[in-house]
Amino acid sequence: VGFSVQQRIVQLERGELHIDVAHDPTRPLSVIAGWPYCQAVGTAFSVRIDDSQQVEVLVADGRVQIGVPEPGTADTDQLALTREMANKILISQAERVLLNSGEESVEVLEPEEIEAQLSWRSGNLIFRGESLATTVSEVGRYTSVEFVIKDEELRRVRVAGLFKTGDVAGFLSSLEANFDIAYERTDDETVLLFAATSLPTDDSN
Amino acid sequence: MIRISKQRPFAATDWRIYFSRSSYTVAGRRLVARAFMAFLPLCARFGLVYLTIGLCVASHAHASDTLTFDIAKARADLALIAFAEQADRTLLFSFDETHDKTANRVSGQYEVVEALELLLAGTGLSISMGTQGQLSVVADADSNGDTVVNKPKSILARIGMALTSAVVGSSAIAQESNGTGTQNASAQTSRP
Repeated sequence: VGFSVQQRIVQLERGELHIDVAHDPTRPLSVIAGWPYCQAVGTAFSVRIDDSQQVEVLVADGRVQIGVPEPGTADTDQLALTREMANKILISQAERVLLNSGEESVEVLEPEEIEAQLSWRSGNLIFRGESLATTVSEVGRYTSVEFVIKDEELRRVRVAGLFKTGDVAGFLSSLEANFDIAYERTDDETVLLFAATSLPTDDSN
Repeated sequence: MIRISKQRPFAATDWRIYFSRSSYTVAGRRLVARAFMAFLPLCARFGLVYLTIGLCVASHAHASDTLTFDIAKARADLALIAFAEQADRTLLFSFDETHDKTANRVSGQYEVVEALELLLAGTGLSISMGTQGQLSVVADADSNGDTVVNKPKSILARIGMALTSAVVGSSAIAQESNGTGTQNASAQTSRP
């Protein structure tokens, strides 16, 4: 975080942040995340970097300008970084853009989708049809446990519901009760998930 | 280690102090085990039922809590998310089995399972509550539109489960007096 009389800069290295910007045209707020950066214009927005360095920007209110530094701009020159930019994209309320994905397309979200996307701020994760693979990846970000799906078919199962961040026991019991998914802890940090029907049977003898 | 906030003096209402992996845990479990064994004949004489019902209620407190719900009539998956949010619990279910159904409006004070029953009545979704209080919501294969509610099988099953948990000592109560008042400390096993 670097605040000066000229501007406010927040650098996001990993994870996700949500900002409600106090509007000040003489002192704009910029978020630098990976190679693009976002410059807020009186707005509320979230920025997220995933493991593959894709940057997602979601605007809850107002507008956000996204740009890329001009070639040759030194990373350390943050003032120049936020003034000299190319490939500007302007996204507005209820819009989301995924950067570094090859095609920067702007997507318009329904209010319920925005609420789900930002539910982490209140300690909940909301799922509305995401695959189990995506679900366990998201849940894993909020726990100290890594979930590994052993059955390929399970990865595509579509999940809805609410996960209270940190509630690993509730998560596993919900998978067990509603998806017939069994689990096995291999150590304190890894849980294997597989279809209960694929459980090895010991009662053969 | 006992964790007590040092922000303010200990108050008489601070009867819950959570701690784990301490000598108090062992002492607390022994205390409960001894109390239970001493109390058992009296229970048998004066009515085991009252004790066991009490233990059952305690073990399912989270499922029988009365909460205020205000859920609009909506697509079943969205209504269930609202339910989970208002019940303050993790609940994941199949999107494919729920998104094409419409749940009922629920408004008022209900037990968790009761609210879920009302929410999904007539949707063809089956509700069950597991022995640990986990909720299951799945579509009936031969649904005729009626919602099937499966609660824990019988009072005997509940009694057995409650007695087992009491003997094992998954939670224990210990007391210590510090001269300024009595503190009850609830010991909880650490997360698996």
